[in-house]
Amino acid sequence: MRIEPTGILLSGICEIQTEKCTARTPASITVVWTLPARRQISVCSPCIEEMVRSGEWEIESAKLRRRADVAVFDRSGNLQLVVEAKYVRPDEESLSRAVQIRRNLLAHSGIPSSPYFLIVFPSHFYLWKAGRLDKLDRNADYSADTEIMHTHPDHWTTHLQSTQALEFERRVSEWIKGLSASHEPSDVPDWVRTSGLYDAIKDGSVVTEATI
Amino acid sequence: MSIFLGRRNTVGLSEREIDYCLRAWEVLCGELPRTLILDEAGTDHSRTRFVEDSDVVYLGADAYPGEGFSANSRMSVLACLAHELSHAERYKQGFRRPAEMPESLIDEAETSLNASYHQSLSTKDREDLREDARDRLTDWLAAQSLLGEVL
Repeated sequence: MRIEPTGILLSGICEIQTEKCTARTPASITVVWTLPARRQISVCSPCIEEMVRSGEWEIESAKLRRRADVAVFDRSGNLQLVVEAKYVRPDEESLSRAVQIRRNLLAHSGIPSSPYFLIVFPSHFYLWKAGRLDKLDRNADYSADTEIMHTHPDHWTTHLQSTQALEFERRVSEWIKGLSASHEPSDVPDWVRTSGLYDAIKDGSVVTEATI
Repeated sequence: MSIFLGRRNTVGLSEREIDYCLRAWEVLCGELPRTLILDEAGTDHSRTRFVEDSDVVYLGADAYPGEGFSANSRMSVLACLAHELSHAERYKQGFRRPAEMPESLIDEAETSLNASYHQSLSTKDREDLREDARDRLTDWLAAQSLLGEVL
């Protein structure tokens, strides 16, 4: 959905309340319009960024801070892998959602170019390998099932989602660290080896919540 | 003096105006809070500025728009503070500002252009910042021409 910031500033409660929200109690927020319907939404700044990063909102002419939930650098210090961990509902885990997230991040300069880009949902991975003609909405090169979060909660609440999202990011980071440090290829999933990702990040340094 | 870089507000800010500026600053900084020094804001002719040595932004009376016709004169509080935040972010990225004119105009232009991409700005704020960047480049080009004539 396209949105347009109005520049209006006020003190209030954020209507979006992602896990990054800073206005669950009254705080500084701004107002955006949805386009073309022009519905007004009061929202805090971190939630605007999170909504764009999650592929749900687009803002024309805006750039995001460049950061990654997890970034992996090789032994020479070159960025090899950027990871976005998205703790979404089971029915939201799809290739089209992953493509939309990547498209938004690239269109808003939210991630730098890197040889590999990985989106991790609780039950699926989607991996892109950098190509010469890289379209924004290109499908993933590899996908696989996984179970990084073993169970989804039965009832989703904003608070629960927020807590679980942080735990999910931590688990994704641990999983990547384990891959990078592994010296036993048989422990590494096939798609990680055949894509070349294992060789790219082997013995690399893993940084969480990285500004890149 | 530039024909473009007009006049912004010079009257010291009221508490209510300072509160509004703080709100704008919090929205701009998002989840990465930064210090905004308010000590001088109530003083006439005080200036909003990024100070590299201490890596902080001072709020001044000129955070509010003035009566000039240029983009610089009319840009909103949000756009003005986005420009200062952009100085701070560029400094963190390793950019160092040239102190001398006219070279500093290019840095100011880049800073405004960079600020214009901030996610929280309205379309009008983006336009004003880009117009401000253009005006500063125009001034730089004019200064280059004058130097050429002297040489």
